[in-house]
Amino acid sequence: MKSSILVENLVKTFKIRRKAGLLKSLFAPEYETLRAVDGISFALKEGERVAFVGPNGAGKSTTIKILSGILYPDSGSVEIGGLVPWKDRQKLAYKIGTVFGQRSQLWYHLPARDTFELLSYAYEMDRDDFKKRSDELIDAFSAGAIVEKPVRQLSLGERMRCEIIASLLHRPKILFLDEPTVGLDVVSKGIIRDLVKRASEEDGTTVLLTSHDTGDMERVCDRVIVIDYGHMVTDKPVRDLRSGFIRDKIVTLAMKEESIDLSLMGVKIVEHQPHQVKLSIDTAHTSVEFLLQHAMQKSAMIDITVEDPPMEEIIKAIYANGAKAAC
Amino acid sequence: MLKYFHFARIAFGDHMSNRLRMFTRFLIYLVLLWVMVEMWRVIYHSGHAPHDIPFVDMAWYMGIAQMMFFLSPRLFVIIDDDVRSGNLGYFLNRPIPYLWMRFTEGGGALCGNVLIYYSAGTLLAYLYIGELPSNGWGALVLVMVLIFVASLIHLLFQVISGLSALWTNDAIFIYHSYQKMFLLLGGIYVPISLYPDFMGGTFLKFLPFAAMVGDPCSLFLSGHTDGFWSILALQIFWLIAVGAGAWAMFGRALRKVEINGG
Repeated sequence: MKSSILVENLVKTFKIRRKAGLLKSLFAPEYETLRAVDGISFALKEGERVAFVGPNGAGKSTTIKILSGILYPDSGSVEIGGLVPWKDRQKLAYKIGTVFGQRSQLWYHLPARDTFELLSYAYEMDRDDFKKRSDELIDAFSAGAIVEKPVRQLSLGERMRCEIIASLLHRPKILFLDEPTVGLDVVSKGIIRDLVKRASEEDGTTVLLTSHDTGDMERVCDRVIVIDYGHMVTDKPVRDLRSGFIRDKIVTLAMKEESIDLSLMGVKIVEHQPHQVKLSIDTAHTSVEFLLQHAMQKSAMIDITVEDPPMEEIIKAIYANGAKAAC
Repeated sequence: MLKYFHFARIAFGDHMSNRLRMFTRFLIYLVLLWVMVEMWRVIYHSGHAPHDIPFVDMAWYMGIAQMMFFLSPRLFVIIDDDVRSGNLGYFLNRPIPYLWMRFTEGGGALCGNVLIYYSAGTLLAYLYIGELPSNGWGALVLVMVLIFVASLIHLLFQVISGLSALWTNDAIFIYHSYQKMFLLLGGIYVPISLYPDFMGGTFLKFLPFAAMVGDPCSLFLSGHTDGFWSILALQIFWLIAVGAGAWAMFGRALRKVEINGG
């Protein structure tokens, strides 16, 4: 499969003015350099859905802004369908769609449908094609009533649906989503995730998504790139993250005895109630099998649940490893 | 080009939908028209007025010269806000250059204002002044054409002022500096023919301000409209020159775009 996005040794720094006295800041201002993106390299295949994850200030939004042609990098190369984003902005615009969760591309006082029409002229779409495409998307996103209301009257979730329709209107090959679910409630998040995934599957659109919400990553993407301090920490399929970065398991035991002693190496009690205990096990020291055998010797079991830790914990562990590597 | 037309069309609709803003601005224009005409009426009554310019022509000069400032929307405020909020960056990945998108939107809003000021504004000015300029309604139409082109140049200056926020972090003082130069050197309060010779004859010819207001409105004062085509040619020169300057500045501005956070 062809590469859709090719990034090599991407570096972007920002100059930040140092606080100084009035005269000094006027005549001899001093700046410090912040390396927001520090030598990132990766490639995305056509139709891949990749999550770009990292804590605040990790450089993920900066990278997306460079890839979508908004910012110039200091060095490194980016190629998207044979185009260099910051040099071929106008041409690239026809190939990409962007959704920035904290910004809007919709005209505030107008119904979203008017913005769609305006964008269709901007993207030089054929009139019949535009009508067909917008009807298709409005139908798929169940946005028939929403698109007729002025944007200022929409809820955040409704507006986000319109934003995504606007970004998919011209059938982009690549969709950049920068925190598309920020501020949304659980139901709206679910809707947006499902719609993005379906749109990508149906049209073969490559998706690069940044988010703080691991749910976006798990529900939408097949692969995850974690960055921290501008460096790449890991690049793996989402399903391999758990095995690669965390050895802990969460075991919940419901038992006949009110409580049992499970003092084993690597076993920590997370929660304790009469007849129930929740444990965290470091499988490097104690296997789940050994723990269960040990527990069953002490009490009859009513129920046993073995879970992976939540994705947030895994990401935290990855950040911690990344921070160590960066130090 | 069709896309630009539609951006202007939407901006026209958006501008016209805000009736309160339009009405307030129009009211301020009428107050300013009254102040300027009354000021010159006092000067004429005092006997210090230029002998070769009838009061009625001076009143029309003032009425249309003030109108020019009210025709253009405050585009520099929008661009300044785009720069400071970081929105500018988010417009860059559209298949229409940000500079021309905003200029076209400004043009759409300008057309909305033209509709109101050229009809209701001139009608009220006529009712207030009491008669047409000496050159007749034909001169009025020609001045209006020139003032429209001048408003396009004014929009481009606003674009430049707005983009300057990328270097200065605040476009307001740049715009105000431009505006003060314009007020002083453009012939807004006093016709350029009344300026000292060294200014009206040479200095002002090298600046665009006179070509934007003073020269067009001087058609009311000259007794004929022969200068129309030469003024229009000069305006087109300035339109291209200022447009090229704005485009060059935009090219440099793109490298200054920084959007932190997100």
